Amino acid sequence: MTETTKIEMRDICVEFPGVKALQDVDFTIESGHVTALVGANGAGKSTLMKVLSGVYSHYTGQIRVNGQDVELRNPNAAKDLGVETVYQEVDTALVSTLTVAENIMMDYLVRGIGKKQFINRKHIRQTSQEILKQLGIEIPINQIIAKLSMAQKQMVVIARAVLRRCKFLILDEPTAPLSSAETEKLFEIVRKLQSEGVGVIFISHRLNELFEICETMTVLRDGRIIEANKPLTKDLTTNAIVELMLGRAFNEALDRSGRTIGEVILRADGLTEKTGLVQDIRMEVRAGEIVGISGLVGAGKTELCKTLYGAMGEANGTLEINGRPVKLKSPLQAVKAGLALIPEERRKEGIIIGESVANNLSMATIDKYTRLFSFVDRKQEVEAAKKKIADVKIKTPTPYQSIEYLSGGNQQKVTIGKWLDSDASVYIFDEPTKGIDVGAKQDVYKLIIELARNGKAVIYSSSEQSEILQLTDRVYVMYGGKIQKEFKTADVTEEQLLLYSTGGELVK
Amino acid sequence: MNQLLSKTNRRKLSHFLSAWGAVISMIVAFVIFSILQPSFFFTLNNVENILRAASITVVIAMGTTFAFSCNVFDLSVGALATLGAAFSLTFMVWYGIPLPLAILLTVVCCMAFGAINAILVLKFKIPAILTTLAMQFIMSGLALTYSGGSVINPNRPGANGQEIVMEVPELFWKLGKAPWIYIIMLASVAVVAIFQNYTKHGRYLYMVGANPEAAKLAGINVTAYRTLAFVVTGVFAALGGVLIVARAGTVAANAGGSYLMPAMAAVNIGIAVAGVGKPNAIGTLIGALLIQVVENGLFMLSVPYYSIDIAKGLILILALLLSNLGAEDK
Repeated sequence: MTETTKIEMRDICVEFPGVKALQDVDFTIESGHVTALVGANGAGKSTLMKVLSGVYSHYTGQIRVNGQDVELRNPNAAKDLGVETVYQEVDTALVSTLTVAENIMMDYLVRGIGKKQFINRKHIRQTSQEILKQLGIEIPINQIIAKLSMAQKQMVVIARAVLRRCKFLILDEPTAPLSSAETEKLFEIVRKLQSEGVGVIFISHRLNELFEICETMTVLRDGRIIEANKPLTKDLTTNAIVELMLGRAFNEALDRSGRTIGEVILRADGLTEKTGLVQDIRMEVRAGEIVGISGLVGAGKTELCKTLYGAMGEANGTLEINGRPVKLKSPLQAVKAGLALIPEERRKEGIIIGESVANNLSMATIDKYTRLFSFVDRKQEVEAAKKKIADVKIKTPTPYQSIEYLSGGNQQKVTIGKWLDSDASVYIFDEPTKGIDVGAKQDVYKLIIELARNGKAVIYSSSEQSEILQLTDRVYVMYGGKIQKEFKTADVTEEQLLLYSTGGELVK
Repeated sequence: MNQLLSKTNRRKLSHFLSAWGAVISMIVAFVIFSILQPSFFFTLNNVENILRAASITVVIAMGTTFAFSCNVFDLSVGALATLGAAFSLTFMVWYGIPLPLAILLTVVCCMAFGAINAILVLKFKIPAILTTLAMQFIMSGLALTYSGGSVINPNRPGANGQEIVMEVPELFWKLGKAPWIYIIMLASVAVVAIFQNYTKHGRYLYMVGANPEAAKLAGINVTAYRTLAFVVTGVFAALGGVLIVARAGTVAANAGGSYLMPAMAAVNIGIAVAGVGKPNAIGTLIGALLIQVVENGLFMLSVPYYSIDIAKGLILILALLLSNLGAEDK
């Protein structure tokens, strides 16, 4: 693959009912280059990439490959051009019950096999082994996909794309679920692909990463191009990129004042999940306090949040809320005891696709808007929804809008908003800013601080150390399902958090 | 630009067809049959026939609508209606239980069967489709065993030697005729429609159906709502059973079984009606009427009864195609 290929997209427009997702967008990508595509949620990154991969057939504008006009009206047309996409939800691209080898060789199984009826198992094993070796990936080829980690699954998808001789690889937020070691491994593979002449489009909200592997970046805002193929030089700061994304200056300091730390609201002692996913948790959280749970992906943070919330069934050990010992067997009991959880997997666990924004906002506290015989007072419900939409700054045309049309950040605001008028005294946030843009992140932080100002106890779980340092008063560092160390946030550095997160300890 | 316009138009058309296809086909079918068979089809008597036959489907399908709204799938509803029919009649004829109590007992028995379904599916985690398939056989077997394998006739002793101890009150037979059968049907539709649209429990049912994980984490008792769905299916199956026997006068073997398919079809046709996109009571009512109009019309055209099932199956497929049309470009 020595000859270079160039794809030029000109005047691309995409419209959805009521929304102009892309307006006159020009975008160019050349083989052998790694370029970043950045923008806030809803800026049109995914839409543009879906045009390039043939998913959105209703775009207008021209696409040229090496100067020749092409139509990308279906995914196969894009595949024929050598455009492959690795979506964040890699599971949708894999068959979980088949082996690594069979998944890598899916094209052979489906099309390559032709009229033959029997598969050549040796060919499958050998070819997939070769391709993994070529990429320097170490995954046993006979392993079932379901047993792989998220990072390994991504690599399987990438290996499959490489096998299809892809010339352009779109990586849509690949690093969001990865630990730093896994991310490094992914970057190695990307660099290798680049050296072999593959063009890579890299989408990520972790702006620091861009400098590591991308040469240029393109910034999208509100469906328009703000910067095209700007070189990513060292003198460009992440703050400057954020400014380009948001179109306004961005102030990182958070105002956390105005809170009074009160009584202990939540106290856990020796809390252990039945199957041992989290063990011997000893922690307390006071009213008005924001307590962080730091740790890498897989450290057991989500499991801890769910154990506190009763979502993992009854746990051993003691848990006190507002001074009263409680045994929580289900989230229902947790809600009654005064807990609220904003779960990590927003789409899967936080919102109800197909329901309106208003219905989603009222789901946890609908009792407030019901009359005799549980009849819902819709007027009151919609009024409350309007108030929440204004308070939380949810971007939606009306409360009746179906939630699936909102961007990720706005969906997240809905999952928080639904608890705002509850009587909960403890709010547990599990990676609430995952996959949402910086602007929405700031809004979420402000919301959380506001909750603490109102005397709520807040637990904030995150795998991003900088976030923990910015937002919390105290932090528990988790590793392997246990609390490794407790710090006052003011006395700890990012390096220390990382050290304890990886299971290390400071030697005195 | 021209192409784009036609595309939007096409999308609008498919949305329209998906939302109103069932209603339009019902009217079209009605008009065609009226033209082809004016002296038989388009008579007050026949229209009443259609409504009466549809009523039973509607009542049974209300349970299915309720269950579908929280993604609970129950194949045993037809067999359960047979049991309901057998229980309600024999409780009076064989055991001398007064009418209101007999019906109440029937409802309770059918609720208990629904609860068994719920336990098997929710506690023992057997997939609902398989559980209720097995339960369908168990229930129709039970109904046959109970009746001694023959038709239950209120004027003859039971096949297992049960004596007639009481005559069926006239009021019972009235339940199977106008206006009572319509009142029961409309009341069933109204109860389910109001429950689904105006109460918090209805809202919760839909939420459990659409995303059980999110519903659970919001503090909704998912298992309780799913159990409720199975039990309420039992209530409507019991009522449907009562109407079956009140209309026919006897309980034939597997009398309720023939309502399973129309009930399922009615719910699925109803999902798309008016673009609601969820199982809903009014939509189910329209779906059931559509099926009944076609069935009755074909019967009037002297299509043999055993071939009419083909048409019923085709209607369901058509309905599902139409609703996919609307969902395609979401």
